[in-house]
Amino acid sequence: MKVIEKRDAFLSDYEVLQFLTKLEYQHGWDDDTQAQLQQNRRKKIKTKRPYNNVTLQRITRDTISYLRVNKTYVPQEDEDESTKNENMISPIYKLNDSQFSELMLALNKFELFKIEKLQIVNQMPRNLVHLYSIVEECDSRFTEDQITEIIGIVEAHS
Amino acid sequence: MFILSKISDLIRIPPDEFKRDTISAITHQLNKNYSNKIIPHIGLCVTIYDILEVDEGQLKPGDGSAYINVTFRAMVFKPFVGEILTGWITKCTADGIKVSMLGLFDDIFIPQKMLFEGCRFLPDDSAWIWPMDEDTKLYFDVNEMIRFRVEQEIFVEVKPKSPKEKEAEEEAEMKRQQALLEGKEDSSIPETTVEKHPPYAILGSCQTDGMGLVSWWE
Repeated sequence: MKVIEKRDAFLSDYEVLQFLTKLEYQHGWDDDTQAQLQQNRRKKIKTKRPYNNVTLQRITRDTISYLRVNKTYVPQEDEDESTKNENMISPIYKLNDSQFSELMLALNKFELFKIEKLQIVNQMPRNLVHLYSIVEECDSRFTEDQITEIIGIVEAHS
Repeated sequence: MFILSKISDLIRIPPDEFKRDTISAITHQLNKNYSNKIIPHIGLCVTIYDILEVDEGQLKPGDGSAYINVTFRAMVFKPFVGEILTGWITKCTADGIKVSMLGLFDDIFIPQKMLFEGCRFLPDDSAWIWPMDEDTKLYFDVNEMIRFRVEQEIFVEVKPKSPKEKEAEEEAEMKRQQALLEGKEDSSIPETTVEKHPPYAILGSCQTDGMGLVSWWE
């Protein structure tokens, strides 16, 4: 094995999620296909077996389930089950390609470093403390209005 | 959190894979070799992203397999130093806090000296507390969502198990099963699994605003 380039590119969580979901679908590992297979087996209909690779299947499923969880949300006591379940799903799971590029373009007008922007679209910070921890020296680099604008953009996309 | 790494490798395609088309046979072999494995000094490989170059296959005397040089890109879990990550607390000890990222990655540790100043460990509750001011004490409890900064990554060369180690492990497993059969509680035989260094571990810190349990800051 020879490593030619350690870091050829950064991937955002959104891209990873899209890629892995597609991979899961292609190999017939998603829930719908699995349920269909079970049904066919019971009815003894012969179907093509899904690609058999247990380690890949497991890491794909685990990564997707990690990325799906909303990491900025804390369940409140007084909410009912349906809003709780709705809020547990990460905003990046609900985006589509055009919304995602819109979000990227909207963030472009601020002088953020690449890795800061990457972390913003990965984590979708919705309060100031979280944003301050991602963006270094946030209060001296940006005015208050700009900061509220960034949070506003993130909120509009989640 | 995730990157693409460009890697070249010589892979072996056994004859029973010849019925597949080249790309899927290669992807299959690569995924078998790399997915869910640590690539030394890079990170945890999740899957093969794409294949860039495929050389012509070679034959070696005495082997029916084809050997092919391929260049590919792998999707690797490798947070950079300074990145903010979110995980779940799995264990609190006097040395620090162990954090896991739900099946994706488990070997994250926040040592005690990288926690907030004034943090104390309570052996009775086996939890860490952060006395923010006189009256409020914040608890680091197991299974809570925690945000931390990546400080250091540690790679350890892991050798395959020696026959002696394997034997000892099997013996311990036998003993444990025997004890279970006899209905004894596991108190008599301690779990003999020695904590081994993981091949890739991440050290984190919780020292600035916004770090620590997510619920504190919401």
